[in-house]
Amino acid sequence: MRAYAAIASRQFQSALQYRGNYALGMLSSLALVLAMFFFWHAGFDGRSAIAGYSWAQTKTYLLIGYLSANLVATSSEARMSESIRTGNVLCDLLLPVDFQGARLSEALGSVAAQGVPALLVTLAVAVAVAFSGVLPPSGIGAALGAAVALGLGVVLKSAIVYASALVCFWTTNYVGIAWSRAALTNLLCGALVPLAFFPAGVAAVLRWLPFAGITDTPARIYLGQLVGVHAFLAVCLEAAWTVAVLFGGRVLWRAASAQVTIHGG
Amino acid sequence: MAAIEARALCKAYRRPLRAPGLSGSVRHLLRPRHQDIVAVDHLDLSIEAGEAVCYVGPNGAGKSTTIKLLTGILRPTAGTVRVLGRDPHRQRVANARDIAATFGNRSQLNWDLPLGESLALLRDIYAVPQGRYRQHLRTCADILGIDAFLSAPVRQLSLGQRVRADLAAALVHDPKILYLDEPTVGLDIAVKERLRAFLRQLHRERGLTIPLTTHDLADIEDVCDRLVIIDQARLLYDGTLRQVRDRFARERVLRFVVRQPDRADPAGILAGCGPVRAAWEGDTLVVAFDRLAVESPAVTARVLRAMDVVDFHLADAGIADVVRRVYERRLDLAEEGGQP
Ligand SMILES: Nc1ncnc2c1ncn2[C@@H]1O[C@H](COP(=O)(O)OP(=O)(O)O)[C@@H](O)[C@H]1O
Ligand SMILES: [Mg+2]
Repeated sequence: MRAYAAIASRQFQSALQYRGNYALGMLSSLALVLAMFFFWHAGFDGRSAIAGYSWAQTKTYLLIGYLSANLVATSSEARMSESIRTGNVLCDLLLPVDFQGARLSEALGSVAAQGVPALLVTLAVAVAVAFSGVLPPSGIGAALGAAVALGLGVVLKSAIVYASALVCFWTTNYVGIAWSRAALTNLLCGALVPLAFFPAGVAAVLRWLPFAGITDTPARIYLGQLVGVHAFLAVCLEAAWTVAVLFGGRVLWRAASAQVTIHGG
Repeated sequence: MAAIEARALCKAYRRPLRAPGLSGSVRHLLRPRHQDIVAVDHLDLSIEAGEAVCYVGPNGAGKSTTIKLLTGILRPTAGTVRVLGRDPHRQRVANARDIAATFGNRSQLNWDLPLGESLALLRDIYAVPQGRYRQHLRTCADILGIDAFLSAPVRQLSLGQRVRADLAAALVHDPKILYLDEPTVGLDIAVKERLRAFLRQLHRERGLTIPLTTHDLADIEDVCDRLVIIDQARLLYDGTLRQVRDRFARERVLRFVVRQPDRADPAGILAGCGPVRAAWEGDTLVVAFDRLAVESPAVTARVLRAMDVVDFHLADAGIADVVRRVYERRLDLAEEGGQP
């Protein structure tokens, strides 16, 4: 355990070296969140609700989606595929630590260094500029439940990112994988479009998939749309998916490590 | 039981066979074809604890692949490996605690952190007690001089510094086996010397088991006591340095510079010495023979008695010569005089 804590804290330090990335990261995520705001603002032109969501609820949902998307450092994905592509993964394999555990620790280290500060600043600016009128949580229980679901979602998404980066052991097209993975998760978790806006049948299916736990579940608990037993079951589903994806990552790793070749001699 | 034991070890890589150009890529996408490249072919190798073994062979012979198999990074296609009684691939994490490896063309160190921090990370990962860690740093400072750049980010180190740093990093957890893949490649003479001195000390004083690959002959002669020659994925020869010298490096060449040579056939003078080859090169008489079959003093005495010799030079074929012949694929195992 100490080994993984050390890996996370060293990744945190290492990420701090790139201060320039802060500014850039903040700028680009700010641009994104504002673009999303204006897009949906136009969508609400002359309407008071879409699929049962008021403009205030939509804003709140999207802001939670933004939060959930940025709490996970996808830079770990790039780092991992890069090390597989160049063969530096060899050095990771020489260490007496579990590969998945070490990569997830690194992801947590980076998010603490880069994600959180960038996120806080962006959120402050976004709320000041465009998102004023965001709803408070529907109650103390909702606030706690949403926090639990959001935290679980971070682990879930990190596990998804890890599993998709492992695919680089079979192909050299890691940019393509990262893009598809990002597009798929962001669309299917609700970070771009609230799941309620999909046709009812589609939304129902999407809520059974692992991605919903990342954004849709915490957002709906926060808004008071999922309460009591329903909220509890949704969090249980999310937890089950988290365990399943973590386990799937281990199975995938076993297959990958059996046929791993180190590029570059 | 040997520290490292490989039995009929094989590794084949799959390489996509793709015709050039776009059409080739598309065709490959539709019907991928692969070629198997055998990098290690039925290798039998057994290394005892405390041995320093040098692995030589031309580029592409399969040296690095073998090291990766022994360290557990790659899974064998066939055959078995045991390292300290474990399967290094299946029990990678347990195995990693007891071994270390450096690869000349890569660094294990975190590019962004100062060297000291990177070493401290390894200390935490391996849970090395602080006292032992400090002692390790002192040793590395004394012999490798790493104290001079402990606070520099690794990306700013010169190659010579980085290689020393990598070695210091590899030894943080006091491994039992240290694999080195081309440890001295690209280094200047002074750094090479320093590195070898350190390796010698690790081997002789701490009894570290060191399998190493190299193209540098001095690495072999200074550090190792055993030589394994491989080519085209197969083991060609395995023996001690002395055995190699006595079996493949037996030719001795004596050169006598003679005042006013008559260039007569020297066969008459040298009769009775045994099988020698002698010829004139300008005013120099060159005599070559098997140093185990012919006595050098006898040859010298006869030449000195018969001619007015003004200068004299002796050269023995060395490990260098053997290795060169391996690389040029001119080493004939069958014809080299059998077992010494
Ligand atoms: N990742 C890889 N994929 C395909 N072939 C490889 C790979 N790595 C090495 N090879 C091939 O395996 C053979 C042995 O390589 P290597 O073990 O690196 O040789 P050496 O270290 O002796 O120079 C070479 O023919 C090389 O081209
Ligand atoms: Mg090599």
